[in-house]
Amino acid sequence: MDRKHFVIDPIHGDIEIPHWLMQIKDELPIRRMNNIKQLGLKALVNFPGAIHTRYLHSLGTMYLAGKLADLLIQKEETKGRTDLKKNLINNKECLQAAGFFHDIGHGPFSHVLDFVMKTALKTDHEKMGVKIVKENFKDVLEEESIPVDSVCRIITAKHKYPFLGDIINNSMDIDKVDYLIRDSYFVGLKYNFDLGHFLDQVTICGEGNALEEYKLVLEDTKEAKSSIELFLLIWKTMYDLVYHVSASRTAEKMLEKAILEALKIDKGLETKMSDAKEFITIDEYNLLDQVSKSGEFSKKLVEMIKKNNLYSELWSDELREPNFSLNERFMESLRSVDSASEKITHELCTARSEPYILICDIIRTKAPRNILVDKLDKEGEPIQMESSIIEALKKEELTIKVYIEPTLNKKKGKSLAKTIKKEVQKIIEEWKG
Amino acid sequence: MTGKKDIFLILLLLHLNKKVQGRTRFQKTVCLLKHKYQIPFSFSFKSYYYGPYSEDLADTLSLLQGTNLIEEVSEPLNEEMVRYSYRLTERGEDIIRSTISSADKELLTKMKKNIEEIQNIRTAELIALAKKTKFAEEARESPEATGKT
Repeated sequence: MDRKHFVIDPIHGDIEIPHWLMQIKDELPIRRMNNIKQLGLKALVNFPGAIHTRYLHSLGTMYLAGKLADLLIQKEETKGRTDLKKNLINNKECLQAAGFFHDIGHGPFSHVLDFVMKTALKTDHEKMGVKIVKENFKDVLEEESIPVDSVCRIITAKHKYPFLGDIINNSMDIDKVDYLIRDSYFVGLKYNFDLGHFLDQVTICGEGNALEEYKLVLEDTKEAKSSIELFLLIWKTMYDLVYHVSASRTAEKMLEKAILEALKIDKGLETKMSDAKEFITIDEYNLLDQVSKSGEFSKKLVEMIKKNNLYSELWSDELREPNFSLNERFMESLRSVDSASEKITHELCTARSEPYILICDIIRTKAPRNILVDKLDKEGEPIQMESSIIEALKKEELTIKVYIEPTLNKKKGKSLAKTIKKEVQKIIEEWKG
Repeated sequence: MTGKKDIFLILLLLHLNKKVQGRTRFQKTVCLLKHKYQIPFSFSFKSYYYGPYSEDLADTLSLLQGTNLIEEVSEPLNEEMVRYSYRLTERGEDIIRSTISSADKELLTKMKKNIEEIQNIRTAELIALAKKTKFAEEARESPEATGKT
């Protein structure tokens, strides 16, 4: 029998490396995840401790997928749902693989590339991830009887059996559990909750042979309610204090603009970032180098980020009625907030004849929804977890900000701050598109 | 009818229906309007816990709440359960009133008639009807996942 292999993780302790991963762990697409920090530029700007990588998070998600699968299988011992139990046993390794590969399509600096990939490259990290897994690891996975299509459908939440996809990609999935605990540990906030207790509150709701209609839910208990409330409070706090914190958010938007400008000049970079085979060669180190070589403007922005000479926040407001007069054309554009903010940026800068001297940023904070409990309603209405804390946290927040280039800020910051809100209001009111 | 976007159609739905009771009911209503009555919503639905569900629709409703154009109201059904309903805010009502043009008359009449039909259907039946729409055919035609069981 093969010897078992483990790595030590600061969050979960010993993590067993499955046989399929032992065979591929040193291949480029996986080694690359070691050169992509989980929180991107946050390590350079606000949180020097946040140097943990996508690779570590992927191992953690794989570990939790296996642990939750074991707990769910154990719960089925007494419930008599033999088909469900068999399905979970058969899919345990699939879930672990999906947990490991779910973020393999992330580019350097993680979410900085989201908008770039969507607009300039017409893809996203999930689609890129699926390509990378299929092109590189299909044979290894299927030799171990792990169907690669099943793994990819779990990652993209399109699996025939939704409860499997829910484990990796839904309101209270184990991806969030891992990144919240891991990120808070590495930034130094150390928010935590009892993982074993939390996972023990998860179960599968459903009856009969139609496994397609089974769902991942929480137990209908006070313990489950307290656990999910704590989970969501940590989620909200991490978004407010870490993920959306102003300085590093500014740096991220600056880098996004640097890459967008670089792509206009450097077609080689565009090809490299669009093709899955080339994409896996890009990491944080070589991307900054390449962007710096693709035009003076991009070079200047990258240098500014490296020296922590960042744009300043000029103005900020809640993006809602009655602060702004929102029409249905603008609302439609808000379904992609990054595109809407890019368009406002463009209009603000065109008026001043200098690209990206001001950067508009719209931040949409959406709490996880669909927190369901193990209980059926006579009318077929899904029963949501009843909690005033959950309801309060579900309320979506939209903030609009404008960042200003430091030299312009020194010269005209004060006077511009007074007029910028009016300009943005006018752009929104007269929205074209 | 072409060219109308989803935000306009959601606001119009709530303008005509005043209050849609239940998150599930809202999802199935939009699914039926799209697939049975050919109202040009662009949301795509997939099979979910209680029939067709669109993540994009849920996301859009959340956006409209966040910007204060619609509101979600909770009503206790009994001691344990709460139902969430959607309605327009005053500002949402203003926007839709000022956006509807004479060119929308045909759409308005059609949607009103469709909504009246849907209002008379109980939620459980609405779910069954939504499952039978073109959405279901599309779902059956999609390639099967290769789960091991």
